Amino acid sequence: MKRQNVRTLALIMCTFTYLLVGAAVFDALESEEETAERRRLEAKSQELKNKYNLSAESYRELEWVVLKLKPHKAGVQWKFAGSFYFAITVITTIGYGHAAPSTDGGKVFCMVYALLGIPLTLVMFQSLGERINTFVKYLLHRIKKCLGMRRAEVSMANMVTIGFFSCISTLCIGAAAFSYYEHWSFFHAYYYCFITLTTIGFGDYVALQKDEALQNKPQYVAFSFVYILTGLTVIGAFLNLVVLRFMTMNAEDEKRDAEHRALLTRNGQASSIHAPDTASAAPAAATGGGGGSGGGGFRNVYAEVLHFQSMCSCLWYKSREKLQYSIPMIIPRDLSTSDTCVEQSHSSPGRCPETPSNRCFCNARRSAISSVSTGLHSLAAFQGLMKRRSSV
Amino acid sequence: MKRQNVRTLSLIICTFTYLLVGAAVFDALESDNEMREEEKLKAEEIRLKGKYNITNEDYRQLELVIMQSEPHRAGVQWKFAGSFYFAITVITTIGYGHAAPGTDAGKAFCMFYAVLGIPLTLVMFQSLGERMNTFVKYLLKRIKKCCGMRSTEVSMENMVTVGFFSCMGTLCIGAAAFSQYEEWSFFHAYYYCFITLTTIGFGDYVALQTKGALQKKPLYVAFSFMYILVGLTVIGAFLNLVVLRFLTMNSEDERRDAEERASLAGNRNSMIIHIQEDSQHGRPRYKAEVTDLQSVCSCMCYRSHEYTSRVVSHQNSFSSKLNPQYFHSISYKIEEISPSTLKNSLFPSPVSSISPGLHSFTDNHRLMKRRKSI
Repeated sequence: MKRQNVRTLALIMCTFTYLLVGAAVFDALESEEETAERRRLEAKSQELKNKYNLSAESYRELEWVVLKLKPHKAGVQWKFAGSFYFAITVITTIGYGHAAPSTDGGKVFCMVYALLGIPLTLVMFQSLGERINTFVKYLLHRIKKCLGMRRAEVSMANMVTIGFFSCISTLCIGAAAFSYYEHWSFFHAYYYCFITLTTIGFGDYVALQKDEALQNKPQYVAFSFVYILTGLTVIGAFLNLVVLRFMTMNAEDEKRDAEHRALLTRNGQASSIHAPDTASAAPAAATGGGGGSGGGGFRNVYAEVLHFQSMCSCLWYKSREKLQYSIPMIIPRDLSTSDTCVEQSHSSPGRCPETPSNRCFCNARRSAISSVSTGLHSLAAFQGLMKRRSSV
Repeated sequence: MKRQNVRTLSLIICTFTYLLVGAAVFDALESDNEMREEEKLKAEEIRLKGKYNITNEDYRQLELVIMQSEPHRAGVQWKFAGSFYFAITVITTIGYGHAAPGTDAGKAFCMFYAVLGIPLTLVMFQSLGERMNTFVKYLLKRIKKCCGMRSTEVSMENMVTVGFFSCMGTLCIGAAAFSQYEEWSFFHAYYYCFITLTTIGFGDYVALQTKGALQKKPLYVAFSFMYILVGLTVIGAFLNLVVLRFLTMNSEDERRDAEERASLAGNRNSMIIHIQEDSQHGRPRYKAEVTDLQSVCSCMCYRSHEYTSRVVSHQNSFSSKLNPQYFHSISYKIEEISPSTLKNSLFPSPVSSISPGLHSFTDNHRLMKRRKSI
């Protein structure tokens, strides 16, 4: 099966397994507490009901009022500061739900707003995250140079370590700040920061909901907004470093497959183009195909390029034994193509009148057209891949 | 300024402006309603307090009890079905909050669960989305062929249209289903599906929370889970089609800049290597040849005529050098080259100048392809 399909199926199975395992663990951790809590609350509500002789109907009335008043009790939610807070939770997809549009117009605008805002924000965070990664890599490089270290290259491991510690410290800074302002424990504040910056946003803990903070404490409000946006950038930078390459893997494999197919068809075509050119041109060794005719125009240009390509492939093939020990990974895959191409050429030895000393050169002329590009391309691809895997 | 920096700065400014505009509009839409609601509810509160003669202290307790009872009223949240629902809301980052871990251990596990689960889910949805896009593209091509259309190429516009309508279709199907099962209006159910599938997940509307559905209606539960996951895949496929290329723009520009710098350095190196080992030809001639070939490769599109004549002369000079001894010297050189310089110095000058030329041509071509195609 194609690599991309295997990869996709494996990911689907992994995710389902992950969900099942998570469900089982959450069940084990929370179920008992839930039943205990439920019983406690039942008892309490029953106590209050009895105290005030409340019927089920009246109790439901009270319930309704209390629940509806909850966001209002937390403060004015839709003045500018609150709306800005809400807008942030929409386009970053955090979505606490501490305030949600109650008018239908608000709901419609919310959907349209999210439709444009979410991609914009995704691209913005990734863009900024990539800039930060590049800057950090540059800084680290300079630091390594200053410290006089032997190899001043910044490896992927370096970057991942720094990224990881940046994330942890961002969470800790936030936890410290919010535990102070919101009077939460450090652990609960850390949990809040984590749930916020991963954009899960349960809404069980929400900042700026106490003591009318949205209206009365502009500095704290500003800090919260800046914290959320900066924190998301740091997390985004880490994701850009570690996860983004995996999101484009399938597409890149598809592209590479398409290019291989294109090269193979071009190889077939080019061989047939080349034969008439050689036959018609003067048998001078140096001119190769169709150079003098000029009438071929673009086709001649192409043929000439392929000439050089085939030369490259011949050299490549000859030096394979040398290369094998320096780049073992590249050789088997790429040279299999060049081998077949070179073999093809051996079957038609009569075309070129070159001397034996140039035989490799001559025979490779017609053949291995794609092998070089494949060879070069896969080398470049390999390097690109290596670069991609190992660099930022 | 570098292109990537300009791009990043513009995006930041755009986002801030977008936030300001959004805040202003939400303020305009919701503030009045909020004020009115609050007045009404406060009045109601006072009325009820007076009606039942509830003390302030007791009322505060009542409030607490009622608010804490809310999730319990919606059903058993942490048995397996409920936990699975919760796990979905965590790793997809929807995060309704209809149920949130009450124990500290649950909170801690939730964080670890998210750290691994969210990247896994992101990659999975993008992977599956890409497969879906490829399949749809293939289907569309076959349909075009069957319909006997002249150009059977599937353009980006085709794909975006199909993707957009799939998203709409998914939202409408969900809206119909949930408005039926949850007894919401179609509009509210549509709003719920939208907020869920964009992973915002306010929690103002949450499925499976009425009439003990989590425990009593396994088919509806299964449908809800499947709907959320399939819907997220469809949205993910659309994002993969439209947005993903923009997420990698800066990195690609950086890589291209680095390659250009490397190829420039490599050409300089290869020229030096060649000049050192072959003293037969004068330096200026070789430099000219190299530059010529480079320009040839990069300008192949519009200099084909000059190229043809130049190439012939180069071929002459090159083939005369290709004898076994020269060849061995090349092999020897290859041995000691590290992979990073291999691309540019593997072959002697005219040939090596081609490889970066060809390579950047292919690269450019690939990039062009990338921008235009899917």
